[in-house]
Amino acid sequence: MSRTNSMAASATPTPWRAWLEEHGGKLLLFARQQTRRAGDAEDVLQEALVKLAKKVELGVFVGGQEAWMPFLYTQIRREAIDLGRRNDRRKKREDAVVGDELIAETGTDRWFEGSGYEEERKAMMEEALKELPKKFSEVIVMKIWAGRTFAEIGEILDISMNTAASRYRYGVEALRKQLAAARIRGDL
Amino acid sequence: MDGELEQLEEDLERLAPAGMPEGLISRMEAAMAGWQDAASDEEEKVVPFPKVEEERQGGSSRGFWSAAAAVALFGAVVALVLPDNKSKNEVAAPAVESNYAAVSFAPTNMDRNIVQASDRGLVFTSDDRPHRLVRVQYVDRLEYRNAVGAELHVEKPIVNFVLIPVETD
Repeated sequence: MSRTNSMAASATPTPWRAWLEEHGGKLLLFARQQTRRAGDAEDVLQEALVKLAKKVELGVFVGGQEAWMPFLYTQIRREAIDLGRRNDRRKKREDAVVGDELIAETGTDRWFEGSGYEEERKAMMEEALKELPKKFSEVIVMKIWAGRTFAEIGEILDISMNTAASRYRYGVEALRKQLAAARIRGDL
Repeated sequence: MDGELEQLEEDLERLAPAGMPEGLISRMEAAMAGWQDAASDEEEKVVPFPKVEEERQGGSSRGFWSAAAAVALFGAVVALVLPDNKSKNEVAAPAVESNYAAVSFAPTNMDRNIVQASDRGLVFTSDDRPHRLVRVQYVDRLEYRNAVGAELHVEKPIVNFVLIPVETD
């Protein structure tokens, strides 16, 4: 249920565009980590961005531009939780269909760019990250790719800084174990 | 964090988040510029930010040695509390039992020593709770004596795997 807007892509770029080009990838990664499907990630990101734009343009946003990203991470997470609840209710009605969609979309939902980095290992790391329990992977995503501090992560997730740090440490350790298992299986 | 974990962190940092496709940037830009079009009833879902940080302290991280010792101690106590349970003792050394049962050896002492405890890493249970898997290797030394004072010493190596909950909340 992606929204469209009357503003065409070819129109004069708004002030938001350059900012989106710089930060959009990180936000989309977090949205993908928080949701089950690529389409859902785009929807929750859009909802969060619209709320930011509204607050900024109405002059009611608390804080400067440096506070936009923490606000968006918080808002994306909230939107994803709400969407997940709606999807759970829908899933009860459309279980088979949703399952098919999930399987169909999983194969194309890549979180990371291709690069000179060893592709096979990159893919394994991405898969291992996706398999982690969400409460661990969300901390890793925010720490490594969003550059947030544990204090900021704690604020965004409504947990203590110590909890954020321990989730990060255990999450990375679990990733290592998964990758070691993949190595033993010969996948790496 | 040990060197291997730091290396993994570096590897992860080398992964670059996939950029937003041009079409998606345009869609987001248009949505932001047209925020007035969004339903006004969405406002109630906006979370307050910044938020007062809760002063929760992370849980204590008890070493697995203490857990391993607790397991060993528990086993030792059980073994001593139930000295008459012949079938349990006989399980420890079935071949020995078959040779000596007829002369009525009774257990007189039991000693349990941890030989080694090793951390086998983090595992997640089905409810996504993290646990440390600890392999505990210990040896039970059992002494038996019969009516004429003959002693029988049995050593039984045992390996247990223990799951120790990791506190992250």
